[in-house]
Amino acid sequence: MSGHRSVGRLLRENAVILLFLVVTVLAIHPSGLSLTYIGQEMLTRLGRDSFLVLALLLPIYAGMGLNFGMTLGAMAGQFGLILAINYNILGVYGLVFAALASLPVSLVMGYICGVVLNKAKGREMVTGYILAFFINGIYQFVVLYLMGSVIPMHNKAIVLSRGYGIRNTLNLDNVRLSLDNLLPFHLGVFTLPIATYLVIAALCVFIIWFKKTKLGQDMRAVGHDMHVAESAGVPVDRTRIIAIIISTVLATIGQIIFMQNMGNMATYNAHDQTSFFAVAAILVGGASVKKATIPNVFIGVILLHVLFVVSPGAGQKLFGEAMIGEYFRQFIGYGVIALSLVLYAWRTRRETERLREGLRGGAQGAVAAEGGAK
Amino acid sequence: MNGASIDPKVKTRRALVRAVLAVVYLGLIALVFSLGKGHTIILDNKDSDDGSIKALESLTVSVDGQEPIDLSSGDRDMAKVHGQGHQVEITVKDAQKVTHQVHVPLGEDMVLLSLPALLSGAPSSLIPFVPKEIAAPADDQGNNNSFTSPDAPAVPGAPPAPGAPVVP
Repeated sequence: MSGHRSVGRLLRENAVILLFLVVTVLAIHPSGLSLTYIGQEMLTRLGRDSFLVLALLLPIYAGMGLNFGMTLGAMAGQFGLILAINYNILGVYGLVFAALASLPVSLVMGYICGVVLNKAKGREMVTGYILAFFINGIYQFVVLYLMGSVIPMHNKAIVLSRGYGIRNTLNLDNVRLSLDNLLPFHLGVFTLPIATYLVIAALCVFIIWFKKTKLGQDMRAVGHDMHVAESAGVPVDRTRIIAIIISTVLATIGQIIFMQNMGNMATYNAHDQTSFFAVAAILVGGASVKKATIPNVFIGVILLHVLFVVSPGAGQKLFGEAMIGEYFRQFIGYGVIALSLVLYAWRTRRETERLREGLRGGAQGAVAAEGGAK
Repeated sequence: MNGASIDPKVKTRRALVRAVLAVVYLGLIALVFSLGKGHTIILDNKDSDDGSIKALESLTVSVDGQEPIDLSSGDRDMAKVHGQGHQVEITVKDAQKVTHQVHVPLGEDMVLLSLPALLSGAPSSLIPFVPKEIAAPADDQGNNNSFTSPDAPAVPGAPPAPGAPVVP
């Protein structure tokens, strides 16, 4: 009985990851792609996306759910990259310059996001999502109208022909693959971007260390129960704001790493899907709104991207239309988020009912009472 | 949390730490800017304008250890570099390799390095270079959404729309 129950519980708890694993494994063969190709793509995409997904961890620890407001950080990162291209800063220096230049912007964005989310406790995810739309309007205004008119642009090649505003697509040749190719390592047929992995590893070490600090412990206390933390003297609002600021700054750096790997930037919509795919990845990795770990990030990035790589090929083979695979990506992304949230809500309700039953002296209470009588 | 209860010494120390952080931040930006700023060096093997320095018949040049470039008399090529100080190695036909240090000004994106002038020791071997015109990419002209359709009646006295048929 207990074995059955534990298997059932294991399946329930890992329903998203198992479902995704099954779909991914089934899609590999019809895609017609070699395992070597898929492996190399995974190694590249692991470097490209992991930093962004890791940026989601701290707000989850602080009980703020999945930080859809990380898009604000992504916008700040793009702002920094535009400046790096404008001043023609090359290579890794360009990336560092972009990160430094965007730092004040991301700090301010993170603070604004934190303050707004504190006013919407319990509805942080949807608030962050809508806040990203609002800030997107300001970003578009700055990049489309202020750059070149109010903010002087030195590099005329990136300015629209009318004299102000940035072009729709920016070529990031100056910084393209500069971090990935800084320490390339060849392992058989695979090439590993070691420098990018080192940066990601440093962030993992930082997160592990941060969790052990006073602030990290405060964050976990706030995430566990805000009211208890408040009673214990933890400055709840301040702690939550710090969590969001750190997440936003990390998202800024993550977006810069992402963009250097891509090599070009859709100025006005590259950030649109940043939080969406990062959230989908961490959920696919087995995380939930309340609980996430570093392994969840890497499992999620690998699983989500394997499916992204194989889905166009599988769509072509199964339906005779590669675009089906492209739609499939969107469908999978939104589907995973919806499924995870539904499962989380269902699990929470079930847990509450179980606890309530226990308090009323239901089946479990009766069993416990029987045990006590013997 | 209450600002009034903070010791003035702590306040001063905090302000000092913040000021130091701001200076370090600005210093880092300046350092990264100067080290990473990209420049294009046009490597020129032509006669000087006044004809006093003649182009070399053939030479090989390498900037900062990059791939060597062969230049004949009248040739030009370019090297993309970052930072301000650069090592230029020139090998003239059947002669020894000569190494020169050049310093590109921070504000210049493109400079012209006259190799014959550099070899002759002339002071004006490195001069700023401004390309005549940078053509805008034709495929990206910004937001061209217009409020009128192409066949809308023309406003009297208004200039014709680009590509519109000329009405006699």
